[in-house]
Amino acid sequence: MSDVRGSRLFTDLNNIFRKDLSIDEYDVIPVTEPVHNKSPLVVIEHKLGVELWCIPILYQYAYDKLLSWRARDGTEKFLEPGEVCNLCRAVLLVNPECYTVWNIRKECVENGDLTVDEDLKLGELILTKHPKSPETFIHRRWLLQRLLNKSLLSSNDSNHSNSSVESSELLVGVDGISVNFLPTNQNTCSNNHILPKQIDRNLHRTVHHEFDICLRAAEHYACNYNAWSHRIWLIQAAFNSAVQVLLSEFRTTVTWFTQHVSDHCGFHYRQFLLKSLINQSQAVSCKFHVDVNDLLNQEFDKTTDLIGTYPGHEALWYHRKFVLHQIIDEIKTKKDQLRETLSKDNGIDLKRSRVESERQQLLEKELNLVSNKELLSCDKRECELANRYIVWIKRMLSL
Amino acid sequence: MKLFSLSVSYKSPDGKVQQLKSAHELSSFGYFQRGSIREFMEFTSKIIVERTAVCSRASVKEQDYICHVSVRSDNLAGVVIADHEYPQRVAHTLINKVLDEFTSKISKQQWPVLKESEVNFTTLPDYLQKYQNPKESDAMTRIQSDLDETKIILYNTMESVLQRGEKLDDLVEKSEGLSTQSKTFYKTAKKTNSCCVIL
Repeated sequence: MSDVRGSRLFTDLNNIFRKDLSIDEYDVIPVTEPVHNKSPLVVIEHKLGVELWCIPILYQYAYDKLLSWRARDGTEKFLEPGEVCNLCRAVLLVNPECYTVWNIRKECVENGDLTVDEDLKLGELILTKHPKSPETFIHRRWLLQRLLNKSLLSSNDSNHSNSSVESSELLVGVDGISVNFLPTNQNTCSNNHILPKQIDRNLHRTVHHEFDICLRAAEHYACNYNAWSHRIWLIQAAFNSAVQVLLSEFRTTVTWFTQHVSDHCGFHYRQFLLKSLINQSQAVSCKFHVDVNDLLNQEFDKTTDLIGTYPGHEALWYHRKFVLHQIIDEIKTKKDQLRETLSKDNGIDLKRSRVESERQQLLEKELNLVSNKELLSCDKRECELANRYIVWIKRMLSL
Repeated sequence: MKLFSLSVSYKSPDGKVQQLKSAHELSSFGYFQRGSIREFMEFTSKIIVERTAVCSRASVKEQDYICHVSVRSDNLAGVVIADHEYPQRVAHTLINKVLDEFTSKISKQQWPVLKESEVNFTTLPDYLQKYQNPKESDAMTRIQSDLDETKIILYNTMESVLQRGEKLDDLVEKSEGLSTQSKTFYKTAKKTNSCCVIL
């Protein structure tokens, strides 16, 4: 009985996807038992809704069939590749954490039964219902890596006379992707013509769309670590942490953070951007005339401002700690550089103590600021957070 | 931070509550959830106004949502439903402003008799949009002067607002404003402890 219903539901689902190519959202409708004699799968304005009662039936049917095919022991010894893909889709829509099934999809992609774009589209649909599904993000990274490798490979092919090292090849791909990221900057890469234009453009579009997907997932599920770490991966893998991308991300995401003041994962992403910029601080100042210290100070002021406006959010205080710590680290680096340049000079002690006192002054100023403002706040939670921060500063001072 | 709903209602002296106007911003919810969520927001607003004394303000927390309510001495009430990030004082400033404007547009005598469809007051959606970003609205600067000395009572759960012997589950079951689908929605969400549902 249930087998018959299962196969009917499965056929219905496939028909829906065949008829409507632009389904962009998927959800479960809370209907616990069949109430009317209509299909429990509905499509309204390209949104797919599945009634709750039919999900176990559909899932059981698709999962059993797929796994029995996979084990090559049951009755399902031979299945059309298209059928396999469809079964995978049915299983994953219900349970995207099923890694075996994602692996079957990977095999389908490798065998050419499924295009990368199709698979990316399924992942996108799944993320509308399961915005933090880690397996979905992992599978997307695999797909995107495949696209990136392909693009690099073709750039190598057209460029095989040039026997330059692999790392510089990677950079070519990077600059090729990110050319119109910052419209104002001077185009620093002159050799991006090596990339075949068509592939380059497709990849460009896909990667940019991926940023949107991350943001949407982060919007739908607060503190979505998986979405933000996926974005970090994108920056590293697709753009090789190129300075211009980092800077542009740093500027464009600022609005998001002022509107999600309790989302620590979002702040963590910003901290990643800041750290990467600090690591490449020389490139930042040479090519883009931006001083990393200015960025740090701006971020610090922004955080102080947000704390004043929206009291009681721990994530903001953590971010404040991070930024202050980075500022102090920068002072230390300055100190080390001074020590190197002045090692033979006898004015060394004087200079070193000056840097030392700069750090001291900064911390004391911060201590006063917080004691006179947030510590006196009438919000109990805010007081508690400010107190913890002060304890932290005092410990830094005693170091 | 987000504002989801803004509504004005009339609480008659015998404790009955009639909604006069409401606006919702539910684009961040799934397409198939919006209908039920809207019903639940109206249901919650009504319950909370019913249980808030005249001349008082309250903010009721429920999961990630906060329901801000104010009932004035002339029985006019305003409710804002926002997420937990939205500053409480701004929400109450918004209620004040909306209630003042409502009073100036619609005369007091009409409040007890008007039905929701007959109320000619169209600025709620604009307010809802404008106040999505509390920094851009003029609220931040006006807060100090605007909010009178009425204390805002804080409740940490919906249950603590209810009167003795009342249970939320029963109220949901009995409610006429909720469709069967929304009631199932409430039950399944409660069972799976889903985070995407109000209440």
